Amino acid sequence: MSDKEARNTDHDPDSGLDIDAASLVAVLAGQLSSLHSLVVGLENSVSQNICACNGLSDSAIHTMQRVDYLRLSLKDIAALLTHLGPSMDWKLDTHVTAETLRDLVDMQDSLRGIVQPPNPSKTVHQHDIWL
Amino acid sequence: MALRDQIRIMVVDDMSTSRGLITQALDAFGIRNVASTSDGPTALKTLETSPVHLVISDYNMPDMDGLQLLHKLRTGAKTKGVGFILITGKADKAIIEHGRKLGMNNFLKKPFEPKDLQACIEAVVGRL
Repeated sequence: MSDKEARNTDHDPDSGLDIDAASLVAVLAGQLSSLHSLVVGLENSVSQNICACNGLSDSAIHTMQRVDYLRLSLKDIAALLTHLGPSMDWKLDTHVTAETLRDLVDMQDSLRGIVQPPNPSKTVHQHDIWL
Repeated sequence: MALRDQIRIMVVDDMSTSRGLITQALDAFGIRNVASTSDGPTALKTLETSPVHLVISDYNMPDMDGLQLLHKLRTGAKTKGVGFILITGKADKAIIEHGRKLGMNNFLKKPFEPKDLQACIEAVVGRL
């Protein structure tokens, strides 16, 4: 069994250790796909109101053109990550832990599937201290 | 009568937001005769029966991109003389060179200010 296979087999969402690269990239790709869908919806809503309202400012016309760029970028990055994800791995002798990811990410629901949410008892404990 | 009252323009862009923004800007210049469509094939079909003086087209569109549309326009008996402005997210030198060879009259990089669009149009058709 290769190092990569061994690490993927060892991966356990509950362990808090060693997140494999392919799983993390798959989550990121999924998140970007969701963002792309959100931007498409936003763009459609905005376009309907552009036709209905009068006199957008010059700066609004300039800024709103960036929505198109945002949409295309998200679509492209999601497609790249989806394609590359399964063949990705960390550099040898390095690893990323669930704890590191929890520290880096605010919206931890987006990491569901590879990282368990923080221990609820910790939150309750902190709340108790404030009370 | 000012040119802006007479000129007919077609906007081609697959994104409705972009079409709306360009149409709004044209409206602010006093240009009211504006048609818009979301893709090149539909634009070609429409232009056969409803000619315009100027086509403003996005480059990045599925199925037929802006330069493919330009090529079709330049080879069509009824559309070969129409003015053509390409709107592009990146002013890639190869794209612009290719466009020039095909007979593109001007181009504009996104995002642009309405005054840039006006200047771009006036460089092709004259003072609005």
